[in-house]
Amino acid sequence: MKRKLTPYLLLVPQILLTILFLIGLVTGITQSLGVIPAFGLTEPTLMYYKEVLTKPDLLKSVLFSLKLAFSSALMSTAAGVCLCAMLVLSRRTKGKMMRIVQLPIIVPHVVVALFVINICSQNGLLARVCYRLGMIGEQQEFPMLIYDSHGLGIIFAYLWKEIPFIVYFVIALMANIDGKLGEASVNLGANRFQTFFRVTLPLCLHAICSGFLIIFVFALGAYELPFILGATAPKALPVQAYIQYTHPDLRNRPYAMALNGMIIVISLVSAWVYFVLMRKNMKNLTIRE
Amino acid sequence: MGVRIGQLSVSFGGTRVLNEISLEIADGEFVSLLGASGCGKSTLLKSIAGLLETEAGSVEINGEAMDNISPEKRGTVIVFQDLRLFPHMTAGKNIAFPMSIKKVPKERQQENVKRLLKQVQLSGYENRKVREMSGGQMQRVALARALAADPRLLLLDEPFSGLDMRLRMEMGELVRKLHRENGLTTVLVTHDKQEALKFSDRIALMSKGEILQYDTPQEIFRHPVNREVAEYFGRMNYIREGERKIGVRPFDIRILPSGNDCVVEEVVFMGETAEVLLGTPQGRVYCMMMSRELDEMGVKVGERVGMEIVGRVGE
Repeated sequence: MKRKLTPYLLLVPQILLTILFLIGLVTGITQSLGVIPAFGLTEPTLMYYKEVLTKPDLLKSVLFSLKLAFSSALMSTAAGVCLCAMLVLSRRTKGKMMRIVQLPIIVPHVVVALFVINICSQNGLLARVCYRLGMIGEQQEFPMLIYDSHGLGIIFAYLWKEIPFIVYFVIALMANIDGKLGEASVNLGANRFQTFFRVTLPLCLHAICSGFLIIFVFALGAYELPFILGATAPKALPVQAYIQYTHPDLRNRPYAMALNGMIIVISLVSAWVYFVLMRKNMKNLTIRE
Repeated sequence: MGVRIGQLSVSFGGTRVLNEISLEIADGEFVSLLGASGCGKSTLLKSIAGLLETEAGSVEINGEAMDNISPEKRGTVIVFQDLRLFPHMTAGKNIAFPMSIKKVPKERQQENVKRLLKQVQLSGYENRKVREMSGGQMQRVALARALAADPRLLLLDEPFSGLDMRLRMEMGELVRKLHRENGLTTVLVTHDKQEALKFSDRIALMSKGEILQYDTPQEIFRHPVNREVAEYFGRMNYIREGERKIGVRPFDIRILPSGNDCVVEEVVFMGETAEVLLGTPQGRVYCMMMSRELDEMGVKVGERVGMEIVGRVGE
């Protein structure tokens, strides 16, 4: 009897967390549909979603977040894969080099934001170096890389964090493929580059896309970097959602939840694509014994 | 395509895996590297192909030193034990891979793929996904892919080890046929003595990174240079004959029902053959014979019989 119960008992913490998560999710979705009886809102409506997608400032937030998430995920993935390729081709996929490459993963995002301010602001390291080298007349001439409307500082911070993540996510698979199938490819007459582009990279593609999706979803829903490094306008979705949530007029809360609802929908679609890709990846890499 | 290996040594992490190996393989020869797991035979194969860094010694292919020749330019192709077919490609694309690397025109690639698939008895499998094929079919695709690279030297690294006995023999015969038809020089790594004896022109028996004997199957079986070589090919009896001990294989012991100086201690039925353990004044002696012959003799455990030595190892 005790043995039979053990797996269920071990699952209890996970079940509790899932229940808490689901309660939050259902409450959020209910509120995004304009149902908050305590504030006298009882009729379900899609009005808040419509307004989020039509109100210029809110729509700008949606588009700005999508742009930020997409460009930082794309650039991180591209740079991460290039770095992986260099490490694999130079056979440095283990040891010191890997530990150095993966070091930024353990640095919190808030700390990265402070690094970026210190490096990229008009009082930062880069501005001072340019000024010292005579490339700019005064430090204020240095281009606005943070607090700018294009989110360059935010993207830079994400790159700093997520390039190592892609390396961490992809390199073991890439090194394994390159080691075995790569050896077979070289043995059949291909050089190292042909091997990489015709065998290793295609077989890693699903894992790379999965890494891209993880970063995309994370960047879409992350609050601290856009809050610290972002411009006054446009604001990223999570920042905008927080502002709406803490708005003195409590009846603004459905806007906050509708913005969160957008993030949830995009995340769910991404999670589904991730699942499909991972399944394909496993299928592709498995040959019946 | 002759191969000459001179004093080749390879070490991994300070451990010598190959110890000053020297070997010559004549053009068109089928040579087996035979030995137990870990004896260095796969390492030797990979060293010939240039996939491993060697510590000392030389590899020459067709008189050309391979010291500074990269693996893809050596003209050697390995069929690996785990086959290493590219899982994202169809059987046809796997076979076409080495040709596409050499930039062979697409039409000729397709013709060659069809021809090679026919050679390995897989006609019509061009578009079949690799993961949808059986083990034997994948072996054939791997062979066809290796042949598509137009190798000067075909190296087979225990490619049939995952197959059942019948399929192993079938694949072995196919390899032998392809070797003949394509005029290849082939090196087969195996730990199966039957496979080596059946298919090879010469066998190099390896142990602990060294070649114990390199000879034709008949010579290595009948005239082993030492006990280790003799015992690799099967159980041995060591019987005192006058002043010296001689080696006798169980098949070279004949049971004489009329005699009475031995006792039948055990009879093991093994299908076509049977093993009989005889208790003799010199100790226990194993005798192997056809099971039908044993039945006809009617020999039973506990009976007294005679024994005759009809052949000696080294004679």
